[in-house]
Amino acid sequence: MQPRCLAKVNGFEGDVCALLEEVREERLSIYDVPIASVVEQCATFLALFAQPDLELAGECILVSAALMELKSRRLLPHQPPQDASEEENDEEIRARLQQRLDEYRRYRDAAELLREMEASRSRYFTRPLALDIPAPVRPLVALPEPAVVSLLSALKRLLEAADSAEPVEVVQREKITLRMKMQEVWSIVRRAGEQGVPFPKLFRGGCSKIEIIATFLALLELLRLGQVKVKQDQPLGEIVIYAS
Amino acid sequence: MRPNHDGKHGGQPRCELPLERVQQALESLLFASPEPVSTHRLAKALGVPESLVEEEMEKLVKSYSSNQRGITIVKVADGYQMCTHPDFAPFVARLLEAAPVRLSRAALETLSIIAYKQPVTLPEIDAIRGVNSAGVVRTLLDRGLIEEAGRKDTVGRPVMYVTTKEFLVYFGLRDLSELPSLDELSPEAWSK
Repeated sequence: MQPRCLAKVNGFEGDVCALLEEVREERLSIYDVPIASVVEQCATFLALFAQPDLELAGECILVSAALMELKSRRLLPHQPPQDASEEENDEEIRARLQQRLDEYRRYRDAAELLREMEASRSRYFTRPLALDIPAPVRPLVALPEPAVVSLLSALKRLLEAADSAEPVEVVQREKITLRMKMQEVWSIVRRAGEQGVPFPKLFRGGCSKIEIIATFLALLELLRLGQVKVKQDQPLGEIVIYAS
Repeated sequence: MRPNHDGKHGGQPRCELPLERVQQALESLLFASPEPVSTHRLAKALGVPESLVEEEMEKLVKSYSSNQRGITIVKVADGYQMCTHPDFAPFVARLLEAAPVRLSRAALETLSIIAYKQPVTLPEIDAIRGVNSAGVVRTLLDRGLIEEAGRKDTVGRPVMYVTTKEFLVYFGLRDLSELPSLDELSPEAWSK
């Protein structure tokens, strides 16, 4: 169950989304809702999380903004309709807003159905994509000679550093799979976007030899699959990895 | 490669499949392929007509569902896929230490708009949701659930988005027509 952001105001106690709904449906007067207090309660609630919950925070901001909009509209002097046609226009605007709200609700309900479908489909496990099956014939990414040499010498430096850093007394078997590392490298590179990731950044400080090798293999595999690119602007310069 | 005994096998394809073994062959193809495979691809791999594949697949699916098996064959994204039986999902999840993957509410909302209105642009999505959806759309693109499909010929030429085959696979749909009809979600339906 997802946590909900709760608020307590005059005559209402519960989820802030429900609060907004109540106000929109005019079951609760916007004048009775002290927005500052709602915002404060949201902030207090969100501060309880060790890790910021972005979705929840976004929801709180959205609700507060919507409440503010509603209130400011109400507080502004209401222009009396000048003639009959103007009044009709008001009606039209109302109808259009209602229509938009209806449309949104339809998609929101459709999203609920998708949620159910997601849940039932997630009960069917399929075989994972086999990485060891050779990929269909596609042009190999030919790495220019210097790139390969540079990568290898960079690897050598890392391994040497790991050698001296590795404590001898603790023997711990780590379970590292190539797939895991591929996903890790891929997400690091992808997150970096256009700036790319400097080669050493792929390796966490103080990681073991086997981990370095696995990460390196993962990088090569991603290169082979054409998912990442390697660039070195000048000889002995920094090697940077980009998402293709 | 040419057959060795020209006289005996003259002109026949090298790996002809006896009719009675087509079903078995289909079973092995499905096992070997982690993604849904269309009848077209199955037929091409076996060198038999698609109509035969359809017939034999139907029998195979039936035999899997009638004999109590731990594997089931589902029809999804215009193809067939072997999956574990849903009854054993908790155990499989425990074995694989798989955490359930769920999309956020915002992602599902955006995805449902794209699924029903495709091709659709970001401003159109924003107008329905009433909030900026650029971040959510990026997430959906990254997950391969949607893709770009050209640009709309209006002001600013916004990119249009459509759902992908991965979308169908993710929700276990054969095709988009299997999405529940929006009309069923009429205003009456949600005035509980």
